Amino acid sequence: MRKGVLEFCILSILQGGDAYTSEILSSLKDAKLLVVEGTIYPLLTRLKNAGLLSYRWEESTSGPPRKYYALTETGILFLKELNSTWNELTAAVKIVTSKKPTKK
Amino acid sequence: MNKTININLGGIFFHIDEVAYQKLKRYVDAIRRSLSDDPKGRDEIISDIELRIGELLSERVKDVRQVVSESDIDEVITVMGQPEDYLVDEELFNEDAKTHYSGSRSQRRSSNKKLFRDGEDKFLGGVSSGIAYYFDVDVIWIRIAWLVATFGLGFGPILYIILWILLPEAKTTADKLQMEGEPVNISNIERRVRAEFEDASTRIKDAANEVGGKVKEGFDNVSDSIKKKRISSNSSRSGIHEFVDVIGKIVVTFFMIIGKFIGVILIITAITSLVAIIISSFTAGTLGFMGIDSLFDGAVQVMNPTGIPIWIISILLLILLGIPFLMLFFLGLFIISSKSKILSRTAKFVLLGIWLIALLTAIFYGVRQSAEFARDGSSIVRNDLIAIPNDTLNLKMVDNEDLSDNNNFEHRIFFREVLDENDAIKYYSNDVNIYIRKSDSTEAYMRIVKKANGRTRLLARKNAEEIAYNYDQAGKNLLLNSYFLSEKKNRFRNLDLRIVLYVPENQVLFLDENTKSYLRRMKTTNDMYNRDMADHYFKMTDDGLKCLDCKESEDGWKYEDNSDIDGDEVDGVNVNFSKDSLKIEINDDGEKAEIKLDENGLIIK
Repeated sequence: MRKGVLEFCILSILQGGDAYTSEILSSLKDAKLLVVEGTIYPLLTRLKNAGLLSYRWEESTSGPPRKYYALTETGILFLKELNSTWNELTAAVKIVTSKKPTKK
Repeated sequence: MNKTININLGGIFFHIDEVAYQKLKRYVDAIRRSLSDDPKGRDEIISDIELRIGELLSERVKDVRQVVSESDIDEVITVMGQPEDYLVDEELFNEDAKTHYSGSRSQRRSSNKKLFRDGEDKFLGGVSSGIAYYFDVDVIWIRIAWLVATFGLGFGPILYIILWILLPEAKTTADKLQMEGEPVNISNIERRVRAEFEDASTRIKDAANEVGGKVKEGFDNVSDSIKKKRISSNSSRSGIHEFVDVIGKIVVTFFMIIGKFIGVILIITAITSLVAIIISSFTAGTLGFMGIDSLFDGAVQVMNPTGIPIWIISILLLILLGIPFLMLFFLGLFIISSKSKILSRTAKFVLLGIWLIALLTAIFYGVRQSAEFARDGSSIVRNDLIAIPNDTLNLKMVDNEDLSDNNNFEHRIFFREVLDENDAIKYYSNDVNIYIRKSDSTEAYMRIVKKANGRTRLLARKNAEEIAYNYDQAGKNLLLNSYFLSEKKNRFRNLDLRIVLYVPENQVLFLDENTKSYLRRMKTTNDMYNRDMADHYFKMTDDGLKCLDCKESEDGWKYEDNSDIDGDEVDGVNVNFSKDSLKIEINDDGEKAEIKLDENGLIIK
């Protein structure tokens, strides 16, 4: 069921500004979208390889440099597409789920 | 009490307990394995994960001197998730995963692939799809090949049935992985089981489609658009490109099949040759022990006058011929399975070394063998005969009927194995050559010249002396043996026996008819052909033997010594030519034509 949704969420988080992995993780975990952290790494790498994300290294005050992810141009366009698809989807789900009890 | 290890995780320094380190290492390795079908992104993902683990651990380590313990690692693993969790959403990247998959599959083609029958993709028994997996080609090619084999060549059905019986069906997951040439490890098995499970669940999903159709569509839209994006951004392939790709694949497949075929042929050839070489060398080597030595006797004697044991020759031949065929066999195996490590480097060098040693030994023996024939030597025995003036000396051949059936006194140069009166094995030959020459004295005498080859002149003479030849004189009859006997070992030493009879002038000789094939060319007054000399009377003169009772017709054998050839008439065509003219006369039933070429030019009448 989480097909594609996680990617959608990651892109959405990055829309609000660049973030490094731990930040993305904590937002996802707060929303209980993510049970274990391991899942995110392949996703991030693949999104990056697909050209939707870019990253840069940034020095941090507490510890080693951090990997900051940012949306690329295509990433932004893609996120817009996803947004509209998602809205259609939720609307559709709403219609179906709200109709169900009346059908019974 | 445990040892601690210092590690660097994502740029942060940690003291870690040895047990905890092992656990962490196993964990990271497991993740690495589970990501193995994405080698491109793997290292990056791993380094990201290590970075995160470092962060998590540094949250737990308050003091620099604190050691990371096993429980810390357990907690980190709970946060990060099991290796399988890293595989989530694989279907989402189907396009990508597939290309990675096939890419790594072709690289892995060389790894342990096994031939199975594929029970899931079958037309009859699943043989074709199993073979297709093995050769990494599309199953349709194999099926076409079967059709050709069935209708074109005819052996298809039999071969198919044999393969159906011989090949096991890939039933377990491990079998299936082996069939597809993927390494059998936990993560691969797990992946496959999951794929099968998901396959089943999608089918259930399909059944439930009516209810949740819309929902699914929506979800698919999300993932589809991701896919599309990926396609458009990643791979912009034109139709021509794809077409070329397909053609390329067909060509590659074609050559691969031909290559494998050549490999199979090499293996078959090598195996048959090896079996033949081994059997022949063993039989040649052991027949002697079994008491059957005459079978190879001739051939072995030719090669072996020095008396090297036959088993040494057998082993030498086995090595000299066997090792190249063995290498051919391995070459065939290499082509078929493309496993480079069939034969280790040392094994190859050892084989090469053995082969070179055998070669040197063979050369050594070969040189020794040929040295056996290097020198020739002769033994000449002079035997004085009692002169018989004014009477005829009868020259006659006698054969030993105990040894031979050569009743018509033919000149045979080959050898026959016989037993002499002492029951010893001797070689019997009729290669006796008779020459008659004028004696320089008034006495008649005879020389028996025996020749043979040997390693040295002395040995050669010794060998020559071993030729046994006898004659007898009874009054005016000189009885010459029509044969001689030689030792077995001297058989191929180029034995030569000449009887030279020296006859004083005016002595009359009668050559018996049975000497006919033993007489060699000698000087006669009328240049007689030596085979015509038998059954005639001769008188020794200063110019050679003079025939006393030859008919005129037999003079026709005279060699004519004319420098000009003329009168060469063929069916009315008369050709005359001399030093400076050529004349051709053609007379065809009264019609005449003449061509003349001389100092006046060419004249045609």
